[in-house]
Amino acid sequence: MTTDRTGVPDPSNAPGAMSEALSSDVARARRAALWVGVWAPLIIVALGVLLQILWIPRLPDPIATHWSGSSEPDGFSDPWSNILFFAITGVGMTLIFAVLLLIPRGRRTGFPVWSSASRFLAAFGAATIVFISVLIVGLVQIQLDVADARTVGTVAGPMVIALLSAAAAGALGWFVQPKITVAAPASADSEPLPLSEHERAVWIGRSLPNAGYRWFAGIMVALMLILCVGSLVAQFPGWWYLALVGALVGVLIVTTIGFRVRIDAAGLEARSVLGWPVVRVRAADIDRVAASEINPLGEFGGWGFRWMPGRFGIVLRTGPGIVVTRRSGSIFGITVDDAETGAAVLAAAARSAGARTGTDAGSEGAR
Amino acid sequence: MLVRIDAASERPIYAQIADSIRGSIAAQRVFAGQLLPPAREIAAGLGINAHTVLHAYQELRDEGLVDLRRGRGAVVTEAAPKLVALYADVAALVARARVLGVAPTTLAAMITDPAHHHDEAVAESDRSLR
Repeated sequence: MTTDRTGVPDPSNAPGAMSEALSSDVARARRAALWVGVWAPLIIVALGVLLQILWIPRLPDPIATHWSGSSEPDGFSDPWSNILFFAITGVGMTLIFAVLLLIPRGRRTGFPVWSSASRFLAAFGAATIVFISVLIVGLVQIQLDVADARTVGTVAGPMVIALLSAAAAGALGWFVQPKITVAAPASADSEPLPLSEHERAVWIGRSLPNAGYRWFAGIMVALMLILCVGSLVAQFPGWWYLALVGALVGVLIVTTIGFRVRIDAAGLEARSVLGWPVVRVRAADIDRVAASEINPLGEFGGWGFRWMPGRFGIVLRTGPGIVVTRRSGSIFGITVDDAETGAAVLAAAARSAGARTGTDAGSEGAR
Repeated sequence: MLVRIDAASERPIYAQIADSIRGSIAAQRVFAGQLLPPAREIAAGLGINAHTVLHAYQELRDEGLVDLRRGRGAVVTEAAPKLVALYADVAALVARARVLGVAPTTLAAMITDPAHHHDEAVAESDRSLR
């Protein structure tokens, strides 16, 4: 493996200057992400708490804190409990994003050191906290100088404002961060399986969830089933919407509970154990292949069938997997057993496909 | 599980597939009780006929390495890991006999009735080494 192949020097063996420049880029990007995804949200939550404390003299007691459907409030609490609930939710959610952004990456990983996925995660964190903060503060704001919380009407106003603020915060959070991509070191790449001209190889493996994910999936599917059946029976306003969401989420979880993976000269094919969906990565599209430790939470923000900007994954447990970098720069990751062998076969397929089309990875620039 | 074949080899494709699977069992990449991939998956990956893969599975069944059950597929038997080790020993023994000039039939006879065929093998070996 030469550094030319990926266009990005390997920080572990590149001479000082370049690797320092790279690591300072990463440090800058990480600082910006922490500001967007952690510090700014904490400041917003603190401001929200302060504002609500200042408003307490002008609020009814109890205040309305819960609305069902679209019109009248149906849940009430005293203003201080509401502030406490807001503070715990806001700080708790921010901590989750802080953990996601700071999860240490293993030494042997095929994922970029920094990419748009981390940038997205921070911006998404900012949007989430802004949504919660604006919504809760907005719900309190409409009750200012109201004598009886039961007369507070609809919540459509704060809801719309919260959604718009979240979208704006997400966009702002995305654009204030530097656009930096630092690819995985070349040392992470798998050695292609040595195959002679007349040899063909196929590797077949499975991507299966761990016990925790199976439990989670089972409980979620049961909940979605209850939601669907409940909505059909009760037929309250907007029932079809809930039933549809429940059915979609249920179907997505069931169809992505396990995958059969085949790697051959054509590339990688992951087929759900139920036959659908099928995900393919063509050998000719592949730039790099690595057998890598995959931490679903750190790399994809969670388990299952995951999408983030610039990357897509079938990640059902923490542990070994195959990470593919396409020529376009986008990443595909899948957790499988015996990932080393599978990655070697895929690396061989990618190399011979590259040789066939005459577009060797050496000409591709990274970044 | 890795299966590799060499189109240039004189060994039949089905035998090469069986070799790959034996190798996986010996290397402990495939375990007792594990379900082998459907024949059509391997066939599709290698661009060959599924019957060729089934032929390999049948050979492995005849050796006691897998159970073939209708609707269940090919399952690696409990005895498979030890049997694979035994077959490797046998292959080494056959190779050694060939070097020493002992005919395969004589070797087979020695295995079924060791004491009786001892002298015969020594004579054969003497002839070929002379």
